[in-house]
Amino acid sequence: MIRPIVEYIVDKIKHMGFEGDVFTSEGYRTSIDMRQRQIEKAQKVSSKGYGIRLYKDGKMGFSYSNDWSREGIDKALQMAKGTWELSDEVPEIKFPGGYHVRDEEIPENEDGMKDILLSLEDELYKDSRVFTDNSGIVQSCSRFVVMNTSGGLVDWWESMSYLMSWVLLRGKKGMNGSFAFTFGKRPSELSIEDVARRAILRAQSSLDGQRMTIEDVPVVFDTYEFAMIFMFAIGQFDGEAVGRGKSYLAGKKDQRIADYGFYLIDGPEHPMLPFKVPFDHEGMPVQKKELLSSGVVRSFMYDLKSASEFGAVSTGNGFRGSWGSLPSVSPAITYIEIKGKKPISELDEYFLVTSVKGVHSGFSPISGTMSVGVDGVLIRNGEKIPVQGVTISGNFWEMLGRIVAADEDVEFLTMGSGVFGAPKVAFEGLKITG
Amino acid sequence: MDRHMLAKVLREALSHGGDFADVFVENSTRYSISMENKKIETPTVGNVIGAGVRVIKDGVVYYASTEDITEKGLLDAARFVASMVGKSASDVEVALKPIKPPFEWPTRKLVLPDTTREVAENIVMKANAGAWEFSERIVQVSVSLVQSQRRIWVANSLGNFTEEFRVLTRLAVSSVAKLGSYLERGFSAPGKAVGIELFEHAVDPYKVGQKSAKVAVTNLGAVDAPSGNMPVILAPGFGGVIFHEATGHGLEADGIRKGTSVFKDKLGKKIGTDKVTLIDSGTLPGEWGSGQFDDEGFENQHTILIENGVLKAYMVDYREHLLTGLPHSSSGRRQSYLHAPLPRMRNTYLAPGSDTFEDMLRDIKKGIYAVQFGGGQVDPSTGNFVFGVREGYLIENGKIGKAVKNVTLAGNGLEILSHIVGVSGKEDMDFSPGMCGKGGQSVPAGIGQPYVYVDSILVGGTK
Repeated sequence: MIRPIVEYIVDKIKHMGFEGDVFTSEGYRTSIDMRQRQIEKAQKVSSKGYGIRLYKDGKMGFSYSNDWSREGIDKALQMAKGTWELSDEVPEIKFPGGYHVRDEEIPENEDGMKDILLSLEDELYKDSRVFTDNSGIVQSCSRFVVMNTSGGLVDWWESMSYLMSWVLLRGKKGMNGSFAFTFGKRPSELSIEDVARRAILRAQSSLDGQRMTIEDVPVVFDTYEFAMIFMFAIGQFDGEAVGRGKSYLAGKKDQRIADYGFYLIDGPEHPMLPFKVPFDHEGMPVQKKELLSSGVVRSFMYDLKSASEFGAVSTGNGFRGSWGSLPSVSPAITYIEIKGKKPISELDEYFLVTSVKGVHSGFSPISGTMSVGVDGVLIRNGEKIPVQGVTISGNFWEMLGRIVAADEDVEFLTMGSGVFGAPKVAFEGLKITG
Repeated sequence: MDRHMLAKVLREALSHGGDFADVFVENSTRYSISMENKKIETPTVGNVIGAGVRVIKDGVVYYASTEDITEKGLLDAARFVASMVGKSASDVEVALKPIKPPFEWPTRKLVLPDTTREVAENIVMKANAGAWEFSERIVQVSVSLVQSQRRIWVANSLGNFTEEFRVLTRLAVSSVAKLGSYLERGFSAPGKAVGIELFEHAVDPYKVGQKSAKVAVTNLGAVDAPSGNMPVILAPGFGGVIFHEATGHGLEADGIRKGTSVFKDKLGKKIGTDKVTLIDSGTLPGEWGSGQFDDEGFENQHTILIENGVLKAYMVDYREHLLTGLPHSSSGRRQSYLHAPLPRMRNTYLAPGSDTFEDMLRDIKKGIYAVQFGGGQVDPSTGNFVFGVREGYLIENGKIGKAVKNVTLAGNGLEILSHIVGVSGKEDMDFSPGMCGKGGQSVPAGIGQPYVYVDSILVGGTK
């Protein structure tokens, strides 16, 4: 159904005398939210729309719509032309050729979502400290088609399922909540026990905790918390931001900015993941590249526009938040590997962060200054001391150079349109104030 | 949108039972002009149409969306929702009647078609010039002018039919300043629920650019902030994010019902100093979170949450009203037709008092003056909150001193209200726009206050 309409729009673009591309996506999301074994919400939502990019004489226009009628499409084309007229000159974009279609049939939704949630909650409420919960399960499928006036076509889909739980534990002095989630191809593949165990463990870690100032102790971020912080900084590897001098990494190519054992990779796949991200939303293959190798800045991420502006080749990192967005540089599957460090279990003392608040407001990636609210547990010679309501401050970029221990196991999380994986890493030099 | 057709849709939605149903239809246009590197780069315009149908039965929400807003498309969505509700048959007649708005929107100038492109371009160019001309240390400036125009229809099974045209206009300037190899960023982004006339009197785009650049340049020379508990003065406007985070989220009725808020069972109790009167209002004309109606088909309201330190009300949408019996405050809001409503803040602000900024300053030997903020976050179950200070200064012996690097202020929602010891007068009152996230949805939420003096809060500095 979609492809003929996309072909129609591309033909129209050509007839108007433009180059350009059309990005369409259609997705559905079926979800159930449950609390204390009662359904709170059951919903099925779907979204299907398109974005049109026009290019001519060094200028670019863009419009989007979810009106699929001929009149709606013609209006969207005229809107795109109107924005093109307003644009100043932008770097020349060469739309890629190539034909990549995922022909397999999109799988039907699995039944049994409610039963999975009931089993999850059975597992949670085995622990008498669980006061309440908010749990949810999602089945989603998203298909995108990008076609351009150079004959390029990518038609790809991916289905994903998520299981998540937020639990509130009752302690001796008060309550404390935390969350855990997992994802996979199908609901039946999701590990109920892992989510329940992890959510309770994380909520328990700072339960009945107190504020305290902790001096000279390595800090370990749980993977979720590390992902929240790191993915906020990943935009500094955007080749356009670097080229335009608005990234911390501007002028730092081939310089060491992190520990010698620090490797940061972005690419289309990882053996631990049940899916791939082979193409970006401009129809380019996602390239595997080392952004950091032995702590040295090796490469940056580019989409078509930034690659053209800075004489680079697109690394296949032109992704869109939705059909209503222009492509921008974003990671695909990003993961950290730490080599040559002792495992965290060999540390006598460290502060494990299991909740972080205010990353968006307290962390400035361009300078690295970071001051965020955290909860967690101080582990001191086997003793566990819960801590709540403290702040951690320091410089993020300096932190990457002060690794004292790291585990080998990489855990993956979905973060926005990207996927992030990291092991647990212990950093020195951060200030913990309570 | 024909209300008789929507009545049919509601009847279909309730055909298998239900305590309440609504249908939300929107037709939205968003216009954006961005400038970077002193060039206008790819302006965008888009149009989105869609609808959401909801049935509430025994407290459970059943929801489906569609992008086909013809009678057939809406009836199909309603049938799908009804099939989720159950199998028993039910026949409910719904007669829809338009609801009178609590206020009228003035005429708002739209980017298109009311305003020429040159005018819109000039706003962006003036802001860009303001930032670049502030200092030679500025090395990059990004400007965006965004206007969203949403036409919204809501019909519900109580017979309410509402129609509203909502316009939001916002100018955002981000500046990067450089000293040696050290970079800092500054940001300024005023916005209101008005049209392009915002830039005729209320907001000077050139000054917005200058303000953004000033933050970036100031932070280049900022020193490490002290850490520990100390007094803080919060500047007007977005300083009110402290009440949004520390208190507002905890007063949303879903957390009260679930027992996940520290403000449960506190109605009628003294939870703050006499200086604290906190209001959440949807009816402030022109403010960022205002609307004639909520997103469930009800006239919007003005809700006093805390009066002179005593908790008076929660923010309650219709579902939570059904479940808890708490007074309905028209707080049901949603991001779009793809989302079911939740109880949310609109414009949350601390009412002005009678103190002065000068008196507050004189009272402090060592503290922080927090001018610009980067948002915050709260854990409603513990009440622990944080918010980031993007532009802040040391206060030493009653005088404003050096700028400090961005720090986080942390506290507890229940405790902080007992530490509000000064609130300045109405002449200092200001509102700022923000985007509030909850349950995977983001909605515009206004924040406001005059100067506020907190006698003790945890400052997460590096010194």
